[in-house]
Amino acid sequence: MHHFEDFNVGQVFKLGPRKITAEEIKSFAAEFDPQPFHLNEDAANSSVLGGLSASGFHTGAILLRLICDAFLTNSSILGSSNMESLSWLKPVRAGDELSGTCEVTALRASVSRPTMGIMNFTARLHDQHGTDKVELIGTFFFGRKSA
Amino acid sequence: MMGQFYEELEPGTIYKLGDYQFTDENIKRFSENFAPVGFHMDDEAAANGLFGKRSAVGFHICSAWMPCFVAANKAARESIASRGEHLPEIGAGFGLETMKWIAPVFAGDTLSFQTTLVNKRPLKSKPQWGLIELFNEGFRDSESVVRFGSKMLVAKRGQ
Repeated sequence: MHHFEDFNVGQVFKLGPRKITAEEIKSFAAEFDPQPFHLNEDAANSSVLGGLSASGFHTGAILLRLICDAFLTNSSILGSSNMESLSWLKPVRAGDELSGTCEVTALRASVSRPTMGIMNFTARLHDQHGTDKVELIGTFFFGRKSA
Repeated sequence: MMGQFYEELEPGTIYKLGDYQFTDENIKRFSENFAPVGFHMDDEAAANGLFGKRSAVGFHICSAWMPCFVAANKAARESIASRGEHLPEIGAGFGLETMKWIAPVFAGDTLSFQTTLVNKRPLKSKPQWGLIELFNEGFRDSESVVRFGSKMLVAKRGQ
């Protein structure tokens, strides 16, 4: 179980690998982003994305899940109030195998809540060819051991 | 953007996008799929957490903006198409910025989303497209609970 005190600045967690299927791209899109280039191969091929691609919101959610699997689920995570940026660098396609890293970039105690610590992180996923696809720069709150 | 070409868009315009309803089912399902951490998944862990009960994942709250945007965009495009006017190709998004979750969102909450066109500029690398910046916000009644920026491409009408 990772508490706030167990993290170090510069620490890197490996993310993935995670294979992306056409079925999950269409399923997420049907619920949250029902645009032709996320739902239908033919429409996607003639769109600005040039092929069936995951919704950016889906890509962000998958990145969050991989961070959970890497360390967040087994931690004293309390939540988050903000993220600096979620960048869709290249379209994520069906068949992509995503992997990457989550690096701890800063750690500080919370002034308002002494039982809480704050982490800044940068997480990035690339495909099986090494092409960067998505980046998340953000903040997590963790409980402290002394709490 | 709402059936309009880049040239026609006016910074400062506010678009009402519609509502998204959070239910115990969709909150649980999003948490299970994308953030299976104690305070989202487990009643007891949530009771001891920052929010006192199970709440929606932050990315779920931001993602909920999108079907509202798509529906508003589709309705605007259909209205323009029904007048026989030419429609721009739909552009891709570049990402989200400065996501702020101001208050937790719970099952039974309905958020009303809106977007403000903040800025627009041409793109040197893609002369047929422009880049627009949006400021997006979700309200529970009159309370602002989520805010984030986004950037997307909008097709130019051209010459």
